[in-house]
Amino acid sequence: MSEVEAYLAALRDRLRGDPALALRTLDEVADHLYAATEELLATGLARAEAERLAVQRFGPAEPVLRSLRRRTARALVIGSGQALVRLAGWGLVAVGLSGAVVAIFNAALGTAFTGALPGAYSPGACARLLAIHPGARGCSAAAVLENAQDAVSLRLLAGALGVLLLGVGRLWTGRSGAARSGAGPAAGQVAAPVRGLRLGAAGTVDAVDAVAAAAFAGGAVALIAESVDLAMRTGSGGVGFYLSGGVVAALAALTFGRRAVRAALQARVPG
Amino acid sequence: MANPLLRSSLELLLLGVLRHGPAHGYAIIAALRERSDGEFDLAEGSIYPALHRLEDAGLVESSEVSVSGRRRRTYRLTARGEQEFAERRTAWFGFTQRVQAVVGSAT
Repeated sequence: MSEVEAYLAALRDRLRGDPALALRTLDEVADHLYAATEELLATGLARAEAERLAVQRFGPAEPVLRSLRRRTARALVIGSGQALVRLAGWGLVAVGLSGAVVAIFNAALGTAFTGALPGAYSPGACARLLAIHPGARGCSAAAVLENAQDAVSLRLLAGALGVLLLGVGRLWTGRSGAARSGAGPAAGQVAAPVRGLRLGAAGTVDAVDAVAAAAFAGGAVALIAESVDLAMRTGSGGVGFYLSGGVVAALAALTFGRRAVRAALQARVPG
Repeated sequence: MANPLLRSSLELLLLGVLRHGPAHGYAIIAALRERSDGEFDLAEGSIYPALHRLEDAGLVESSEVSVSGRRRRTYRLTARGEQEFAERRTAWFGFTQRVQAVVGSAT
């Protein structure tokens, strides 16, 4: 093994951290050492001497290894932030979708299915409810209307916020992804193939799917249990309030679960 | 890199080299050595952490190209990097003038 190859093999053994950044470090050091060797060969040195000098001038690998550790930690922090934004975004979008489900329930099954939540209303609350719904026959009827309508409008509002958050997350991910993988090939030059380069640190972004699937599954179980409990107590009154969320959470858990499994099966090892 | 003055001004020097156009790591080292008449002869591996810091700060950007079968990363100054270079250079000149006013000229 030549001196440059030995240096690179030793470096490869010591690389730890984000795979894409580690690969980038190795590529960068390799290009440096080969470029230095070529330049020294051109001055008339023998290959062994040129390689020895190139390695000596490069110096110890600690600085690049430190830099890799720092950048891995940085990518992890950024990736976690992006993951949180995406998770919050999808969570809010799911809330919005459950609002749409409530709208369907309201139209198909009547407002009591979602709006007839158990509970007593104070005279003050009743007055407020009747002021909002003057056509309602009594306080409970006004409460049913108010609950059923709020479950649509407020949830749709949350969904719109979620879409906004996902857009922000997408912009953020795109920008940091470009910074990590490089801004593309310079004009007139051929780009090297990008091999399994993924956004986010050490699969943080990929983990969003798995975490979302788990969170939605937990939410689905809790919400469906709540609707079953309510159905046993009230018959059907207010069941839609929880069932709408449970249905959306269950579908979301399935969707994200499938995505997570697919991503895991298709993940490629950089290098 | 033994010279502490060189270490503290490395980022400014890298920005100064990249101001003349995009370059890869080894070309930057060669330019540093050439422009300093061989005085700035540092452990070559030590420029990469500085380049990566500049990139994380958005002052330089990099792209990968294929050169004789190797992947080569080329760095270039961003618009923010150019601005930052101008500011740091002004600060550097101001600082050296004040140091000189205190310690006097070497000759």
